[in-house]
Amino acid sequence: MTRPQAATRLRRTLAMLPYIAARRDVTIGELARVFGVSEETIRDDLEVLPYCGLPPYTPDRLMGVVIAGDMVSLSFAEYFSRPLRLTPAEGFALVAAGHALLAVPGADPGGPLASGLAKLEDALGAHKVLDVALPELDHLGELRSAAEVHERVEIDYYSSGRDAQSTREIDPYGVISLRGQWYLKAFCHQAVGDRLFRVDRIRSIKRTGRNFEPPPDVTPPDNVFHASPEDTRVTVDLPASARWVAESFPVESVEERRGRVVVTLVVAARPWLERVLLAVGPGAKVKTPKEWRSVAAEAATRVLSRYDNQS
Amino acid sequence: MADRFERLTNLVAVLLATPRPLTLEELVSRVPGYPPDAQSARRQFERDKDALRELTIPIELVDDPQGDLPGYRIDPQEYELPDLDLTPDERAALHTAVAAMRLEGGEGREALWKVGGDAASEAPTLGALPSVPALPALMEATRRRVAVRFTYRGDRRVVEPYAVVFRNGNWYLMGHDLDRNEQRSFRADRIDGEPALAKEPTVERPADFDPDALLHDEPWRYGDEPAIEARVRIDPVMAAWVTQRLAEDAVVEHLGDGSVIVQLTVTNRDAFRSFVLDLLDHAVVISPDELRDEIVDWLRKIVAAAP
Repeated sequence: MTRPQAATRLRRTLAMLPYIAARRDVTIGELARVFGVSEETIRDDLEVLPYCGLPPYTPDRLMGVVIAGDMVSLSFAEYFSRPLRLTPAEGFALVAAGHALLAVPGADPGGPLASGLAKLEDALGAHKVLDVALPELDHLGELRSAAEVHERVEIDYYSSGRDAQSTREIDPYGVISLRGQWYLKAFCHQAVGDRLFRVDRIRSIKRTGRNFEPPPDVTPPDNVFHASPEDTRVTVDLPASARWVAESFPVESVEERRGRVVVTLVVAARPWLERVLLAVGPGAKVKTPKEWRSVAAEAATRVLSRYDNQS
Repeated sequence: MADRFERLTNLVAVLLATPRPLTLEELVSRVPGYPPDAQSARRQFERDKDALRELTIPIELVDDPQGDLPGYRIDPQEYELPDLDLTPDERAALHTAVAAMRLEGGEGREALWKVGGDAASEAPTLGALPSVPALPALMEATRRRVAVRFTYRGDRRVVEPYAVVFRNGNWYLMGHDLDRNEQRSFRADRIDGEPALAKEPTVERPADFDPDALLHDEPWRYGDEPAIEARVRIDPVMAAWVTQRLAEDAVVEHLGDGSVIVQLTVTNRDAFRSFVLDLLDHAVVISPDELRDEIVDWLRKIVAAAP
């Protein structure tokens, strides 16, 4: 079936024609870059168009698409000279991205993004429909400014996965907001490698006054979770009510069996699994590896000991 | 033989340019590529029409005052994106926003094709937001001020939407739940299937509507259980983090060793238990006995269930 492909091509073409119509000197290369496809695809799209137009499809009624070398020009297609209105998904994506960037602490609420977004929302009739807030954290500004001037800092950090506190020197590369949490990407001198730190778990920060050489390209991670070969794969048998585990954490596999959910979790450190198991409760059963079967009971015993001391 | 892309392009051109609605018969005879047999041509046209509507191309079937049969057309006013009147700076800022705040699975790039302007030169990524399938429909319902119906964790809900908001890593729909007759918030990722939109705009958002008043940060307040005041002691390791997360007045006592005692209003005991246990042995429920016993009982059951 060529069906989805035809719709995809039509969507791109209906956006491309107004783009060409509004400009004098458009090249195939520019179209390929703007529309995110190969030059060959652009040529394929454009080559069909001279056969399209209005009945009776005589030359004077067909679209005039001229490709001279690399240059593209267009005539007789005034009905395609304006872009199609935004689909709900496109409108949502654009308005959400605009609000998200405006929600970054330090964004200019009176700048061109704010005014452009307001015009877009007016045109869509979407004023005050969407709202994005990102957490404002004590150390965020300080970390961003240290990253900007490439200054090494010392942080007190609580690692939740390992349930441990530490003081370390790091070279901050930049902060990034992923799924509503702020993270700091940095080179950690203690771990001797790049690490991602949760900004809300940084308890204090000290500037060192020393600079570092930033690496040539720091690509922010797409995902907070990086499964590594050293991580342990733990298979847990869960009651159906604990399906949220499969939806909330990185899992390698999920299998539903007679009202139970069997998931294989990627576990970097034991305290992380303890939290999951204590939250699920007595219905969770670790199946493999064998030596992890008593993780929940041991953690529960440890927490209980705090209660014994109390009474 | 014209291929489908060519036929769809011609179909849109004819429907946009026609001064009067065209009947099905007229359309399939004018646009090349439809089969000669009337039945097959009609089926083919129906499929094409669905494909165009999926791209939100507004094909309408209207009565033709001059003809006997209703006909199809695309109203250019409905088809065209209104002129946004953006300055080059504003257009560039929107490009930067789409590049810097990536929406997982979003269609921001396609939106920018229509808005125009050059692709943002390598803007640094500042963040990523999750996306869930229901969001465009929820925004559409809010924008059009129509009630929206959906399945939420197995229940049917009908809601008059007030806003779509992103808080604490999640997207929420906020609005007036018509069956329960009160304002509620709904996690968008817990909506099953495509929300259905009502036709008539009936929604009046109250002037004093405040999404943050409706949305409690604290999951232990999401619930209808009778409110209980719980006190929890947090040890020095987690004291700062917990304090930062809670409302200002939650901390009722600072102890000499760096621990703090926090007081929380609990209307959802399951969520409260999860919060406390997430702190492992850094937190102990000190009162009331009822909640303390519940946690102890839960932990003992976990110990008893061990192999």
